[in-house]
Amino acid sequence: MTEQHPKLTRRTLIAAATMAAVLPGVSFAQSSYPNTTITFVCAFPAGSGADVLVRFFSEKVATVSKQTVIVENKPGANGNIAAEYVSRAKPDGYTVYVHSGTSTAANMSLFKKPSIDVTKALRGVQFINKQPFMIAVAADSPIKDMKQLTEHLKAKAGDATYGSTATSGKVLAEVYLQLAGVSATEVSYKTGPDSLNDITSGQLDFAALDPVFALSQQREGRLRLLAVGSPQRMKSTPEIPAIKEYGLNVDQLGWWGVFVPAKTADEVVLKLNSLFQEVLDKPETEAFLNKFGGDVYKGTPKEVDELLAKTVEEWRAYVALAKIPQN
Amino acid sequence: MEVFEHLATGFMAAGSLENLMFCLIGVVLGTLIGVLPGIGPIPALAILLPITFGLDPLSSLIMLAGIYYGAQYGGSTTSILVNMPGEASSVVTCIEGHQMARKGRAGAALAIAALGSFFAGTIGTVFIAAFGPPLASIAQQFNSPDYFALMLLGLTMAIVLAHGSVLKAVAMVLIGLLLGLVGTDINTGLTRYTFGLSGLWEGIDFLPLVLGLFGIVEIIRNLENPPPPREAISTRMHDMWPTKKEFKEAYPAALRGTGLGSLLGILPGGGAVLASFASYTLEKKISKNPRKFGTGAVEGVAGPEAANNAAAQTSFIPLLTLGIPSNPIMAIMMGAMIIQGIQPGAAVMTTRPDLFWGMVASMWIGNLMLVVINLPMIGIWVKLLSVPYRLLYPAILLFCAIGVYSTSTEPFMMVLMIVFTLFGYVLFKLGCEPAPMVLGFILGPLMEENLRRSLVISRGDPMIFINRPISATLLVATLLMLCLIIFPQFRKTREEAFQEE
Amino acid sequence: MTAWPAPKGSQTVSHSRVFREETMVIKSPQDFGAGILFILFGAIGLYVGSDLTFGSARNMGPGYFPMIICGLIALIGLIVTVKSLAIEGPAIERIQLRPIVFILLAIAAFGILIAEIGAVISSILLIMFAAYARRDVKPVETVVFAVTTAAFVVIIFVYALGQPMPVWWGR
Repeated sequence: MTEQHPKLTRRTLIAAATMAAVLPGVSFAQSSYPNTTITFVCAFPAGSGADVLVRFFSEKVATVSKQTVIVENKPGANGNIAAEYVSRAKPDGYTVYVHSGTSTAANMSLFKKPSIDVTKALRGVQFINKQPFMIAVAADSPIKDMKQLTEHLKAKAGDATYGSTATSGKVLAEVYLQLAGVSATEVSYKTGPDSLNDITSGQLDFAALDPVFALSQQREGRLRLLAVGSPQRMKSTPEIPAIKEYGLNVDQLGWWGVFVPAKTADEVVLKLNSLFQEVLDKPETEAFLNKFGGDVYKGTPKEVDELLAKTVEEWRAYVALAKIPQN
Repeated sequence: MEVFEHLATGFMAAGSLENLMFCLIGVVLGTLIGVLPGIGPIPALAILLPITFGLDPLSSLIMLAGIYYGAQYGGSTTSILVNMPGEASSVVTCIEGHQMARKGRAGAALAIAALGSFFAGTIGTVFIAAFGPPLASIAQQFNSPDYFALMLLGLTMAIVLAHGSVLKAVAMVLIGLLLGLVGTDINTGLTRYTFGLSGLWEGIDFLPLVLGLFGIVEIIRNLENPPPPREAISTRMHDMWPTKKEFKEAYPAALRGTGLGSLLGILPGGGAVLASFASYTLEKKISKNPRKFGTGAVEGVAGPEAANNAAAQTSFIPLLTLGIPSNPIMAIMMGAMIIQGIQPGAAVMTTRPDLFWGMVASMWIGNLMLVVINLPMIGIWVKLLSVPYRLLYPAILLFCAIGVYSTSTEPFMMVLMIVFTLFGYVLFKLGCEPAPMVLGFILGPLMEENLRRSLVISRGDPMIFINRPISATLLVATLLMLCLIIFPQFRKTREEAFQEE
Repeated sequence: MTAWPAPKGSQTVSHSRVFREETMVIKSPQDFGAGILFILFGAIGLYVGSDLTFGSARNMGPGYFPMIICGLIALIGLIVTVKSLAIEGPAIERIQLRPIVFILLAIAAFGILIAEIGAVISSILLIMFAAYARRDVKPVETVVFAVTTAAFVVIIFVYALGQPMPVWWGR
């Protein structure tokens, strides 16, 4: 356990040494992929919450692939900079984008002129997890379920407010409000923790929050989670109902995935898919992802491509429905 | 008392040979990385995080905390020696600390920073142990209007920070506010002031801004007006150690800084940053001789450094008791805990008391190690200054560039650093001080967000700021602060100080 | 960002310093320059932000807060400028081009080239450019120092810390 550090360095040095040794007659035979350092591109700055997730996978993939995996942070423009960077990288499987598929797809409609068409420029490799945004109220609120929330909002007749974090939160809340035929004014927060005091003090009528924060504060006894935005209940949180169970057709699932440049060869994609699969099969990965409020999600490269395309279309509708201005 | 029992549990857990070793490794690595100019605690933690993945939970958290303190102290070292802050709170250390170094008192400044930090760290640890949970509940009382009032108070303090003209300082705070607003407006998702550059969509990055404004402009200043060749720097203990007089000035300041830092550190958002700025303001305000501020006032190092470190300790309170990361560094710590399979929050205290109290105990141990390791190292750091400047500054510049590159590999970051170097250069030529601007830059977005939120929540009624006791109190404090600034007599001493420069 | 009129503004000001003794119009060149800088800052902010929705106090648009701030900046700029005509203040130090140009070139070279040619050569380039910000450069010493530092950077940052930097070109 405690040898992690020396091992890390040793591995790096060995990798470097082998590279130097074979450099003159180097032949990047694709059958032997991976045979050198792999770079994971992260669209968040070093040290942010999502960066931790990418670094977790870089550690695990390094172990199963027996190669060094480094994380390169390309933050900016809601992930657009990183996506564009990966789409232009050499399609050799050594530049890998680990990011939210939802956000990647949503950018296609959040921007007037997206710099790349993600469905054409990127190729799906594997899923990571699926996690829904959640509807929450203060733990001591009289509102116990979605039905009561809808009634409460009806009674307030438009004078209600809700807190949201991230575009996904706003979209979830707006879709729900629309389907339930009620209204409330949005108060946006950059992060979940920013919104906590305003929720618990009753200033906000409800909030649409990211699962990591929502679940941790439910455990702490400060929030009551009324529903998840996914079409079914999550495996990791079977006690929280889906909004769909109340007859409102909400189907908003956040998911993370692994992507490479579109021209990457099939065998490389399949190999990478199985490397990630191996990591996702580990119990510690499941435990880790559950802490982040999501279920492990596995699939084939084709399924990733299909879901990405589907998510792009869904978000076109959301952006129009929630009247989100485009940049 | 129960607290002592808890602490005993903690020291048992943290005091194992293995954990002591990880603490030591963390502190040393943190110091070594943090002392590289341009690499503050956040990049240092991010870079070193994977090292801790394989350790057991307590050891890994102890090591990370060690890295954090080490990097923070390493950052103070570069702030003092070469005017290169790696994070917002060291900007204040630069103001007086670097002036002391220029006057040949680098050793004393470093010693005071180390001792002040240790003292604050000790008190901060006791604070967490004794009052952690009740303090956390205070922080929970803060709603959007209260945050707005707090930010307003903070910005008013920023004006006192400058030692030149009040008007120019106000303008600098406002420019900082404006720069802080660049990027995506969180309410509408629209971008503002991005000039069509996608690199600005998520706002101006802090690191290139602060490195350009402070560190690189300092290099250019030194090249334009080479400081008089220092006589060989003496590293005898006698010359390195603070004098009796310096000690006497420093310790009350450190005491006050500790108090401020312990309280402000609990607040999410700008708490820890506010602490060091507030301490500086306080010291300058109550000083009998405010005009020495800006020329190497010992209190201006001791207070903010103590505040900074106390806040670093108490910022763990919201994380450990509420599960809320109050700043980016705590967000990394939270991520590390999650990786270890621990969900931060009050439950940790009851389900894993060894872990909770072990971490608290390790904070104190880490601070002790820091001071024990660093006091003897002061000689080495000061000797670094005797490396000929013609070799020193290119190396500093290189580390700055690498520091920026390690947080984002986008070439645009370098462009930003160049722009802010130019801007800082112009400001320097025009006698405008960048420190108030940095505070405005950090607090600005928080201020706008909370103002807008408050008014949406109150349906546009500004009385929300007066009806809430916390925000009302803070607004009164802001008014008092403004009166102090406008008060004629005070203004006179201020302008005298200005003329003397 | 290039909209910042930084160098241009300061040149006019340093120019005015020359005539300071004879004309006595600008009594505090530093403050005059700062005032002009603030006015420009505020004006550009108002201009660029003019297409943002202003909104109302109840529902502030993205333009509300920045507009007020820009207005205040420009107002203070005006006051500072006027005051600089009346109250004596410090002059502006002479601008030396060599240090700033070479330092900025050094950063630019590193930033643009590191992804293309790797950490070793871009580090060496940065050190060389930076060294030439001074006049009396010792070429041999600088080259030796640059190579040593580059080696240090690669060993520490690339190998020991696993930072995402190519060592050489061609990846």
